[in-house]
Amino acid sequence: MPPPETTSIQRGHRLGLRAGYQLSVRFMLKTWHSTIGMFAAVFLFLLTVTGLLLMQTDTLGLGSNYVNNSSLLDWYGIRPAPPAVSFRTGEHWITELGDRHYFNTRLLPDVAGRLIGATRSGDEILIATTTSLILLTESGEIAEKIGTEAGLPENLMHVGIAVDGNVILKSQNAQFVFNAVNGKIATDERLRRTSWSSVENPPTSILATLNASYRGTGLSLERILLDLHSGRIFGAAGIWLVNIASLALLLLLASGVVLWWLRGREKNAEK
Amino acid sequence: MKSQVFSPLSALLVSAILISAVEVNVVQAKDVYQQPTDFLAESFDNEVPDSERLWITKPMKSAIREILGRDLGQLRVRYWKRDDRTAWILEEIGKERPITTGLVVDGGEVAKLRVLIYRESRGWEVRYPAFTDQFNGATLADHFLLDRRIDGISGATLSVNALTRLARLALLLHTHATA
Repeated sequence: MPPPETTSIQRGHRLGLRAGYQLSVRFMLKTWHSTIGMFAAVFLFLLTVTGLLLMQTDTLGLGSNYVNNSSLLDWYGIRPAPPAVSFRTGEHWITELGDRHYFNTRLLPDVAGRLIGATRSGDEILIATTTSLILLTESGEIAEKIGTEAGLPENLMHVGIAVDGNVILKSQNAQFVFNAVNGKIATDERLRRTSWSSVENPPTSILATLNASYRGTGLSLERILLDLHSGRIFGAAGIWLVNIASLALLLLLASGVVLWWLRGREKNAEK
Repeated sequence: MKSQVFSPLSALLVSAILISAVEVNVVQAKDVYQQPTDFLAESFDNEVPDSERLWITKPMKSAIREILGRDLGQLRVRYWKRDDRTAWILEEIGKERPITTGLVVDGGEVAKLRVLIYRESRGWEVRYPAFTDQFNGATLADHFLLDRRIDGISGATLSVNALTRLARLALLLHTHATA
């Protein structure tokens, strides 16, 4: 007849009060170790999978692959593009969409200020914003940027080209003539017949491409994985959940070590 | 006993809450120490020559990439020149925002480096002459490095590095502008 099963505590009583206390602690730790383990396992899985994928960001091209799912884009607050403001110069369209600026459908990096117009300047294209002038080649490469640091007046409102070929800039109170060769921006008090750059509707094909580009390049797969990894995809609550899961993993580690140690001591005591 | 076992956990949680709750509000400021136009006037004894344009050639492009670790992002740079003395208004990002810097190169040596507009939240100590005077007389050595060591400022490492890159860039551009 096999001996009746005994609990850790009963065995602990047999082994004496001290050993019994250790066993009861081990029992409680084991229960918590399992509970925490179940909770942490879900997060450990998520952290490991996202972490592994993030390690392959370059190989998988995660940074340059964009999400088009409208629910996810809405979740991230990436709204459809605001109304475009476009100016035409020759065959080219300069467009401002939100805080981005485009030469036809090509994104122009780091353009400061709000777009106020575009015109020709010699054999180049001049884009004017409220706080900067950008000179582009015919192919849309940035040749030069001129900002308020270079003496450009602030709060420009209009740009145009005078009949004599000079580029004219206008703020609320003054008019200036811009010389692209020597970079000088001088106050202009002459009355010149000027053709001012004005807002026009771009072709629908350009607008459609820009709208798709505006929303479609807002959210990369890398961003989503990073936010899943850190919990940020679920906002502040997600961050806290990942914080707690990380602490749970630490507790799991500690309780595992203590359990292993207590088990060793118990075995020694039983001998 | 239960509370004793879990009090460390509570402490950890409280610590995590406190650490995560700390928010650093960085004020984006723009400190103008000297207007670029004033810097140019000072550098050319109030007789500023007309600006000239230096086109970035292919060999210059690779040298610039070696200095800045990236392309300049534009096809030409404007500068002011009289005899063998050139002045440059250049910008480079320290940590997040561009530092507008005026540089004068005379005969292949840095004659003056001055921080004109500083936009970063920290590291503004680089504007003091005690730091910027270290560049005076610096020339370009092998691999487009300066011929001397520039002592850093603790807490302003990124700004120090940005200004060092600009000094190297100005020396390189001067070489081509006066060739």
